[in-house]
Amino acid sequence: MDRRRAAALAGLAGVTVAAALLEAVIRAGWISPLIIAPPSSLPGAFAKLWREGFVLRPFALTIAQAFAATALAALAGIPWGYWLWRRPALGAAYEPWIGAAFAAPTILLFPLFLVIFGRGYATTIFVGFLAAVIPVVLKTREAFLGVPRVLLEVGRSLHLSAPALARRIAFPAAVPGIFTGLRLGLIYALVNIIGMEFLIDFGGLGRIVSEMYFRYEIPAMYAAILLIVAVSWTFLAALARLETWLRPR
Amino acid sequence: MAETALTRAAGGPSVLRPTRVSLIRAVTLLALLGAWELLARSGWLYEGVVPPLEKVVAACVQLLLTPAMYRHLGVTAWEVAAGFALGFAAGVACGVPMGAGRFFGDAVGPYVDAFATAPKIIFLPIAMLLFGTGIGSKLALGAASAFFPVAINTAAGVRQIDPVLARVGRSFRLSAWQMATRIYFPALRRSLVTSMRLAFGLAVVGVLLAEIKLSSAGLGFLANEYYTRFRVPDLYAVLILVFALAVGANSLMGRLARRF
Amino acid sequence: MSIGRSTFACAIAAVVLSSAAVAQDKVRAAVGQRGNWDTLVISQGVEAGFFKRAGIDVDITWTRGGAETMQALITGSADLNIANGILGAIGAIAKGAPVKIVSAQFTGASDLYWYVKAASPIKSMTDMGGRTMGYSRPGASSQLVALSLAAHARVRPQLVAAGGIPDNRTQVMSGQIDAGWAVPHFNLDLVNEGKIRVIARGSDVPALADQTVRVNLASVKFLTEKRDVARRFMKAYYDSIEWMYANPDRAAAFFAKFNDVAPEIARQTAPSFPKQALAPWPVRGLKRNLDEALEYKQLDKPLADQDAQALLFDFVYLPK
Repeated sequence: MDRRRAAALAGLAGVTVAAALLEAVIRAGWISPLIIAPPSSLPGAFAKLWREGFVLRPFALTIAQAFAATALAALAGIPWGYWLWRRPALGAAYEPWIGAAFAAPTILLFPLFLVIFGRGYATTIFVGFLAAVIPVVLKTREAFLGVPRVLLEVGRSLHLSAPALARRIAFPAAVPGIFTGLRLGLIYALVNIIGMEFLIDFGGLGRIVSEMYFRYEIPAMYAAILLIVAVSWTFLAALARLETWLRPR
Repeated sequence: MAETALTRAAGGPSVLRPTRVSLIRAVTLLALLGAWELLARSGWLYEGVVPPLEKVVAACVQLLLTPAMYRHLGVTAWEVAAGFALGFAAGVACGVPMGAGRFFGDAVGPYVDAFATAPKIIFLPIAMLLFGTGIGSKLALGAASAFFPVAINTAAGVRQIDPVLARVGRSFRLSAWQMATRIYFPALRRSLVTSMRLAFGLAVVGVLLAEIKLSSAGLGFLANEYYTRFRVPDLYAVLILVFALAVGANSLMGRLARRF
Repeated sequence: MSIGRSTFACAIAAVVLSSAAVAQDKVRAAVGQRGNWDTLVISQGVEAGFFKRAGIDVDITWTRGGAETMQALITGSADLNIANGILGAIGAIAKGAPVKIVSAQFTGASDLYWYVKAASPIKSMTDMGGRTMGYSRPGASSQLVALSLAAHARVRPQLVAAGGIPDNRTQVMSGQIDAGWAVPHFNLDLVNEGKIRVIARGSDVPALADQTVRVNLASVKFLTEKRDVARRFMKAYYDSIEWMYANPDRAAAFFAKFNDVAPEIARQTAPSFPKQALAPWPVRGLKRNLDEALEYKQLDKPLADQDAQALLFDFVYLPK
């Protein structure tokens, strides 16, 4: 058996053993099932969530918001990243700020957005947009900076105007890097939006966790949390796969 | 012709006067502040949600003069520090075996990655069920936020350690403890320091978000109180303070990192 | 000599026994919705000395209501859960939570009101057809009362889960929803400044007055191991309510000071909380509550009245 597959099976076995131990401990009464849901209750809880419409529609809502936020980030971020490259003075001026913004916890400002935009999609998508736009800008600029000089010199030797040079040579060469930025932006947007949905009790998947906790439906709450873990991870894995598939060689 | 990246790439002059950069920054800052003031006084948004700058500044000053704020700051600082320390220690403790044992790492890795991707705030209800709705759950959130980047980076760091080093250690018949302290730890230092910075930043965010959602003390609690009572300038003041502290702590960590 | 010694011994005994008698039992109460008129009962009672006289030292933790308070009770970090929604209480107990309802906390809907911006053309509920009307979250009393108000006025507004009181305020003032909900003392400053107008109150629907919406719960552990303390606590709670309504000026003054609001606001708040609304017993409208619990998925299957009473209630104290 190939080593990776063996490891995957071992991991699965480990998780199963841990779940069985947890189940035993809860049934023995050492931990209250109202604190940690017994693993055996999870499939039933998930089925209940599905029946009550707490899976598909919230999932679609969350994903839609993530895409909307990323689209806005692309609309704003790609031109911005391009101009930061095209005008080095701007790039030099703003780069440290953008680097700082990348590390900055903008989601902490969400009560302000709540106050300004109200409790709705505007706030969640705005937070997603802020999270996504910074990597898009950074990666776009990086992508343009990474265009081989040789290509640009060839273009110049053909007497292409600056805009034509940008459009025909620089931009196509920068596309893979821009795509990386969009991919990063999408995952950041998704994660931040789920977090916001939980925090403000609104929207898709994140709201479900909050709702189940509020209703004291503990198994359903755990099921919703695991669902979010699965969704975030699948998204990340799928995007990574997509990128390697799109990039030749 | 204006200086552009295209001309520079083709071999044009490449000196940018530093004052030009500062000018751009200054103009941008003034423009942003001006736009703010315009928005605040325009009446376009519901009055009060974007207060004029003077009100915000006054609220900031007022906040710094409020003794109760320092008590909340202390609570938050404790939750961040203790949570980060716990998460970091646990992250290293898990990351080393994950990196050292290839099979173990491959088996456990996907699950760690999966939980790492999810927003940690959704684990808050579990933390509250386990540790109550007080300081314990905020600490747990800080620890959970710090744990993942440290575990993943440490595992990667361990995997990248030159096997020669390990062989040298074994040829000297070093005990496990000596291997850890004399061989692995120094080799890991850089990766640990990098992940420390990221983990600390995430711990700050994790703790504060948890406080905003549900707490009875801390700066996040204060923010929520001001939001609930619609004391908007005070809300801005607290969040500016929180933001400044987070950024400050982050750059401090960065400076410490560079020292090592 | 022996008389002197025994007198001395008696004196020591007297001191020891009297301090034991004065020793206070510690009770931890988790209370939702900090500072509301109805949730301040215990604080008022502590201030007036009822709990001390009952030999109880109350430790109050203010929570954001709902699951937080219930959880504190279930995990044992609180002995009592004050002001929990009755539907949530029914749901938790039906799921096996080791807690019991010890009294009603609020009956009726007189505390809830809906308001619009001053400039709005809406004058009353009858104008609300097709308009957006905010409530907090699905299954909460604000939603149920909104539905009742709409049915009573024979209109069909568009109900929106707009969130808590501050969320509703922002959304009404910025025009995102037409009418928002609140309870006094919140937003009374806006009313007094003429910026908003009240268009409906929970008390507009008389039928709502007979339904208990919030209850007080205690853990089964507390009720079993410290039953006498629980009884004394509930007696002090009852006495505190009696005192509040016998001394309205002092109660209003305490309320104003606690919430850091003007005395005028306190005086405007009190009428929304009539004494019968705070009456701890009986718990009213059980059948209706059970039906709603089923409808809003707090209960998985119907619960008969008789079974419900045995399952849900443990009135450790009842006034004569």
